[in-house]
Amino acid sequence: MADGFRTEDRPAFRRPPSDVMRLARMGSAHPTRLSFLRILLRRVRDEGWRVDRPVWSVDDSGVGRAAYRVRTPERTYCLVAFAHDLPPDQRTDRVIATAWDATFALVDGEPGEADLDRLQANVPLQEAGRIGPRELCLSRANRSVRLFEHVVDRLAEGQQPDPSQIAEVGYLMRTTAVYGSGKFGAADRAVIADRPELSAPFQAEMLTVWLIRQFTVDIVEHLAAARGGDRAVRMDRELRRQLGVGNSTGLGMAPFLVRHPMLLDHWMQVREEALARVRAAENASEETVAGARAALDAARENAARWRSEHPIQVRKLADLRADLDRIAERFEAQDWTERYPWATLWDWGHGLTLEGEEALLSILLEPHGALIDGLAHCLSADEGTGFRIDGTVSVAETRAALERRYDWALSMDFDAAAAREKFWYVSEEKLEPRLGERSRDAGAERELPLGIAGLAVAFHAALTGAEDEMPLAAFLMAHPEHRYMARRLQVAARYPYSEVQDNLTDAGMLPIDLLRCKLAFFGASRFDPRSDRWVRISLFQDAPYPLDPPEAG
Amino acid sequence: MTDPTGQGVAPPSADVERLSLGEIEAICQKAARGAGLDWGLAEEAGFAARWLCARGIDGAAALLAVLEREDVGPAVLAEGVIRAQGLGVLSPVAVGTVLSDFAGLLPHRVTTGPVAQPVLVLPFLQGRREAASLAWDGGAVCVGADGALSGEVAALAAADLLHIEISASRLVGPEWSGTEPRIAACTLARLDALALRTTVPASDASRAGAGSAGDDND
Repeated sequence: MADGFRTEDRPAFRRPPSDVMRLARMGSAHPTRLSFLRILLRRVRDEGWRVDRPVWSVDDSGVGRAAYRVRTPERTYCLVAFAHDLPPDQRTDRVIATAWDATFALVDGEPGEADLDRLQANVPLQEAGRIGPRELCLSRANRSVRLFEHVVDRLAEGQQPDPSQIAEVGYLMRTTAVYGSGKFGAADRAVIADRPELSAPFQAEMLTVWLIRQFTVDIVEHLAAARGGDRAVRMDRELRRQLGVGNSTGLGMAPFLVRHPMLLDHWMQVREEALARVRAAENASEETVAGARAALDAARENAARWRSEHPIQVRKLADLRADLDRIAERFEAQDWTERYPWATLWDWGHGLTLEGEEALLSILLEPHGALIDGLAHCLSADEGTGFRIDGTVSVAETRAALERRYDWALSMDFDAAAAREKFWYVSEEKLEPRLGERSRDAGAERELPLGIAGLAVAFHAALTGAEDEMPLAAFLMAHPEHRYMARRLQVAARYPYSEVQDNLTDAGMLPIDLLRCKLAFFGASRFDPRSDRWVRISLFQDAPYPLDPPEAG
Repeated sequence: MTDPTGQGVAPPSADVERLSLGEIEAICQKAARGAGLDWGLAEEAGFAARWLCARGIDGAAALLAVLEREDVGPAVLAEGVIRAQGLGVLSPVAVGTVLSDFAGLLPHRVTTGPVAQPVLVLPFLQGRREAASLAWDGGAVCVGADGALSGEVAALAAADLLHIEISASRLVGPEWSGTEPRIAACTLARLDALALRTTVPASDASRAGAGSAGDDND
């Protein structure tokens, strides 16, 4: 254990679930150095992964295929890309789309010609095609109409794109889905779960997106060369670095955190443990102080460039910018030689808005890699261990556990219509999650079990009517309708950060809060809501490119 | 247009399809829910089908056969016997969850039947400290603590309806090894039909509400 590190204080330095697991705070989450794409980039750097592009077979109209090969110490992975010529009227980010500007698959190993042909027959179809156990991810992307053509035009004329337009949009293409974990025939998660390079959450998906980022630049430079011939130039390295991969996400992602309580717990616990370790550090070294200052500068720069027109996010951005100014002032006033300076700074931050407080968390974690990066190993969960219900506990014990863990739900008033107004369901049309209004929409009888607070209240009422000594197993034989909630309770009893402690069927609930929390864990920045259930983000902005020579340090 | 095949189930032209285990679990869970099981039991149904498929047994077809029966009744437990209420037969998912939930509270031997598609009881026997066996008149299968199968697995997988006895005894028999099954297209189509009962037809409002408030082609 590092010097100046008060192990015994750490539990006290963790924020309680009742504070952390609220939608408003989750909806203010910022990426940290423990976000999944940062974990990937550190491993790429530390292990010296080598990337090349063995296939680039794209014609002058931008149609064709390419492959990017990644050699890790143990294994090789390849992103196969198919570039299409999509009529503009077919371009939509919605999951209801049937054609895209580019489609991708991440292959486990190196594909042969036959594999490429098989993938070419399936990957462009996306949901309507099939991939196999050698594929890890399926994805697609659309061009940013605003930026893509501009960049191709400029480069073709031998000029660099307009920096203000680069800053305004921030990406050349947006992915609209990145499917992994067995979807559409792909390899199951279990196939890769034990590989060190992919064992942290969503590493295959992050690798896919990182390689897509390279493709987005390669395809504009290719088109510019085709159009401009000798006059064409490649993109300036600094401008290029500012480009991430856009991502458009809707309700499909929202239920994930509710459906995976153990994972949610681990992600949250890791972040809170990281914060606790930093707060418990007795001294601040010059390096960590400099690192925190740099992180603060980067956060201010990011906030300045962050664009959104959505009223909710406009307000939050104003809060964030003002709070970052206050944090900067506080940094100047901070006595870094005092004991526990990070704890002092954190405690001061309670006066900030949620946006500011969560940004401060990210800033404080940034310079403490040596202290917290190892926690990346604790982000995954074997969900099978939470599946079996222990039916030997009594009804009374179960009720007591429910009252302990779900006190936040049991105090809600579900007689109020507003508390049940929203319902989650799956659309027949696209088999995607959607959100209905009970007072207006049909289909509430097919509601998904995502309104956990309401389920907890119903479970409690049923337990209250049963004999105290009865084993839970006997109760569940008579009341199978509470089995789902009984399982969640037993998970929650062991994993305190497993539940979102808000009512997900409330009339005022904002799905974007769930989306932002998950996307921040991915490492997304520039969160830009387009409605209360649809959001755009950027991934890998300012990160190195796969085909660039590795950077020092 | 409604297109249940669009979400990763076999194209109609194929006779069999290789599905990932995650897909098998998902479609079986939804089909179980669509057939009327409560969500918690539907999760168990998906788990059981996946567990069997991972061991080379077509758990999806077995589950479908259970879901399509109309004579499955609720289970009751008395003095080491699990039986169906009334004249019906027992669901293997109901029997399995009772065995799993009660675990240590049950006597050494539990008898039950008639159980439809009794092979689906096997997944619920793993996770105990010791191996457990499922025996019937004419055969037995043992589930090791690690989930390995031995005994007359093929015979059990073929059985439609059996009276069975569950005990902690360890049987010696040939170790079972199967490759992941291909799921018949007709099985998938029927599971899909049940799964569609969990979904809500689109309306213009729901379509519009799911996306971006403005133009997303920019």
